[in-house]
Amino acid sequence: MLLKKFYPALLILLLCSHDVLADNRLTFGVKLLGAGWEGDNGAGGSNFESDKGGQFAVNVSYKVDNFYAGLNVQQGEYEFEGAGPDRFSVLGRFSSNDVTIEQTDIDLLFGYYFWPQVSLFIDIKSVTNDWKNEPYHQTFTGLGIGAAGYIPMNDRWTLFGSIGFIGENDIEDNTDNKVGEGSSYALEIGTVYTLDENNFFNFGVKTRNYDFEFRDSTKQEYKINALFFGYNYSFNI
Amino acid sequence: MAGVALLLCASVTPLNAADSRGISIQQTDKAPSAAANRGTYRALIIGNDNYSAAKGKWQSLNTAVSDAKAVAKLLSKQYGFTDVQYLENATRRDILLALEELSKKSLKNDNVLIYYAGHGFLDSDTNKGFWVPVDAEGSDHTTFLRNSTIRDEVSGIAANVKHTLLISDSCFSGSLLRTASRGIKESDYTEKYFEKVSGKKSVQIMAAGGFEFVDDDYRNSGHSPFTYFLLNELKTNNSPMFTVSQLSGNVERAVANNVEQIPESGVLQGAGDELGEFIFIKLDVAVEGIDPDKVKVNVNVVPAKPISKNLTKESPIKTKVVPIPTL
Repeated sequence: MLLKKFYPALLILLLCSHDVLADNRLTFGVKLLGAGWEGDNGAGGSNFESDKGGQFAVNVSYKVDNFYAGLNVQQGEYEFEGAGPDRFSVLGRFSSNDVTIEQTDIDLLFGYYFWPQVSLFIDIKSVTNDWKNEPYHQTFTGLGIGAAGYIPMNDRWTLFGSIGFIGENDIEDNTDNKVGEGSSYALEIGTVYTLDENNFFNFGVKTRNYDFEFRDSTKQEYKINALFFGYNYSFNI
Repeated sequence: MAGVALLLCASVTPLNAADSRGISIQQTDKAPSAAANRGTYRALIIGNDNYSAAKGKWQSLNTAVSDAKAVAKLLSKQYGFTDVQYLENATRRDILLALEELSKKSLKNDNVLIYYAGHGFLDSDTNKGFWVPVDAEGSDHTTFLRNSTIRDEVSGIAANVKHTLLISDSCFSGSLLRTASRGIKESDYTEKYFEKVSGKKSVQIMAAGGFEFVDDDYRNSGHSPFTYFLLNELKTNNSPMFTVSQLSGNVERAVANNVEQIPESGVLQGAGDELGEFIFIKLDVAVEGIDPDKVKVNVNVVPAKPISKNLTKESPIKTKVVPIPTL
């Protein structure tokens, strides 16, 4: 269902025409994130911190000269022993204890290298948090903008990083009703090891911060910090 | 392995088949035929547009990258170049490394084409010419690529291969060459002539201009005048074999007839040119009286392979792939 929102953009991605000898590159990637989720449930709530957590991502990107487009789907679980993020629905606020939350991120992004090593991008992002064993999930969808860049250190190693934010956007519960508004920002830094012209390994750190304000004026803040390791297979087409 | 096989897929029987210097030709009474050697067709194509990092002096160009892309595409699609390395917005180091790489991987029967589109510079005091890489620093000549350096690098490549052609679409590029007409009339381009010149070593140059500024965008075509007419000649050429002398003569006339710019061509002095000819072999030609669908030219050039000679260091990997950014 979430993908429906991305159909038009997906079509653009898939139908992108290209010049044969333009820099056309298709890249497939996987990423493993070991992550921790911690935050504050706001007034009347508890602080919380996950005990275990992680996500796995698959992505594909397509670069034509300075333009690129990509799709990233990332999913994983976070276990909270004790307090977890409270649930906010149209009916009210419900505390969470000893819960496991499955988080699914979908990013559809388009970027352009305005400078040789620095690009600006937009990210149509959806984050769905699904409280396992509870009939509740929460979806935050928004349009974000960001900047990304890289610095080659030598033939093998390249530093990269990105920063971006998503402005005020709606949060919906499992009944598709708006239960609040939220914003987010993210920062990522890492390094790529180039094995050869097609194989690239990367690792680094990433932090995502979310500020939510729900209908009852409760402000919930949390961040998810992750160490990641990834692999990309890339080739010219 | 057959070097070149020119096959006319009509119901005619080949009259003869020559096989000298690795030449394999199947000739019919209709098809034009000529000789070519069996080497790989390799190209290094450089297009420099973006001079934003060049500390002020050099304005970015509009067409060098599109020129280079179009040349690379045409060579690989229509002229059987199986090893085309394309460099966009190349630094001085990029260019030198690519030339070094090209030298290492080229073999003795290869045909090597080097194309440069970008800024050029002429030191009026010393009359020395330069290519200007994208990381050039103002007027500091040490950050440019001196003609003598280019000549040394190309000479090094030429020493390894049979035919070398340098095409330079930049200001003052004529300062690279020494004019040397081969004095051939159109009627002299016979099969025997192609056989003769393909067997002799050649180190040729085509330059967009002599000691003058050259235009960037020709009539909003997205190409410089020189490359516009170069592409035009290569596209409209309908001969299976086409020498650099033929090509340069046509391009020079076309450019001079249309813009205030006179391209030049010649040989690279001191690089071992034996008055041979770099020969372009077109894969798709029309033959009078024969259905175009039944004309086919197969060029079986040696597949491009990674460097096989004695390497003393690791090959540089130019590709940079970073993970897509997500929020």
